[in-house]
Amino acid sequence: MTTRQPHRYVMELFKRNGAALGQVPVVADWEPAWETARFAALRRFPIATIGPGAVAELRPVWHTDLGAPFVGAVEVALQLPGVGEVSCQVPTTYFKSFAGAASAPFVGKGLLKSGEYFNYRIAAFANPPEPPMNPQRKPRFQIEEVSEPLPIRAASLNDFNKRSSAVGEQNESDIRVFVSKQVVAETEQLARAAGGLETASILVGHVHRDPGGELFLEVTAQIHARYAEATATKVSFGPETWDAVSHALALRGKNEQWLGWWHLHPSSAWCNPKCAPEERAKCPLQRSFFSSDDCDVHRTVFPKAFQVALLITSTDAGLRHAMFSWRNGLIVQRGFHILATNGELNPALVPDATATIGDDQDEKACSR
Amino acid sequence: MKNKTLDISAVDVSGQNVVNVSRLDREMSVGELLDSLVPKMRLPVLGNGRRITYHARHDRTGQHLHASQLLADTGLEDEDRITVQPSIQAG
Ligand SMILES: [Zn+2]
Repeated sequence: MTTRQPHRYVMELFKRNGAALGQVPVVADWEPAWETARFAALRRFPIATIGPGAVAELRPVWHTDLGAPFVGAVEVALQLPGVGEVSCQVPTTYFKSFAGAASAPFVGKGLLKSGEYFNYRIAAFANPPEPPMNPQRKPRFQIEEVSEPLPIRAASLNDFNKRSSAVGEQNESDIRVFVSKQVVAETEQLARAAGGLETASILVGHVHRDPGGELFLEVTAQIHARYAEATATKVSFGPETWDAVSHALALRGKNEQWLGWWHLHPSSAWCNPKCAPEERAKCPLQRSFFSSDDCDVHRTVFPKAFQVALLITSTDAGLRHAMFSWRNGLIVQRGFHILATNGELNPALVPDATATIGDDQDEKACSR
Repeated sequence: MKNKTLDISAVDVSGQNVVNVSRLDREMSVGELLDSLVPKMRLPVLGNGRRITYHARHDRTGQHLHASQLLADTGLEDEDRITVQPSIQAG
């Protein structure tokens, strides 16, 4: 896929009282935006791969009130020769993760206090033409993307719906995610056995396409990241973790795909034991949050638009489940379905209320 | 005599992102290759403001290649595949 960016983007920062701080060129990670368009095409058309002839372009959508050059969203338009065109939009909250870095020079100059809230808006300007390649600078290798088709199986969404129960708030724009009851039971067993440490597994399974064209996921197994190093507040994945997961997956021999991961926040163990039970129940640590480190793991290892992250939070009141995935280039909380394996439906899980994403609750809340 | 260059492929840990890497200079180190390869594989360089460390595994032998090794000394041959593996932590 060829990508085009005819515009450069600039972040304008303001203090809460409206005083302008200045402008910073946006250095954005556009991959989640490109991936949003790729997956939208896989959902829209009966295809399993985005061919090398595909061309994607970022286009500013001008702000409805402020007009050009201010941006209300960024459109990702993807043309697939001989197939069709899809277009999706990423909101300006896409730039939130960049805002911290953008504010650093203003904090350095004393114009903004560390931790002080500020506002931003995004502007776009046409890029100057690319300078010609310097013929003296010979690349040390050539690289070519391989368009591997996504293995997609045929299955009836209606059949899966009949055998499942919903957990959490469902958004119709998300693809349905069915997690087998067995997988949920295994994650809960591992969560209870973790002894106050974090723990994690890779979620594997299949991508299905309904005869009506709709894609959906079936998580068939979880492969425990047994070589991950766990502490009370971190779980670290390295080469040994990935090797072990790959070997386990190959041994299963079911052509299962990496669909995501789950990890545990042992919140009960994080909370101050001296706090009264009613105080502990109100503690932010006992609520679901997807930390900035969690976002980095998801972006680095699970960047496909369909890949999900299940979070289990071990609270004083029991285990809480929250699922996260990509939507319009952003990581958001979402619902999922539990799939019965032997005909009966499942007891409802206790989904968590709205989780925070990208903020480090564990680092800024309460004493521990 | 071996070619001065190598043609291999590289894949991410999930196996879902594959690239062909050709005319690789054998005098390049594994670390230099990864530094150039990671952004081209659309993998992030920074996470939470910190640089993400990536490693290369030679799939045919299962060996983890050291960043300072020259490609010429890794045993990599044409049509071999490396897996690009991050070291990363969730919190
Ligand atoms: Zn976490």
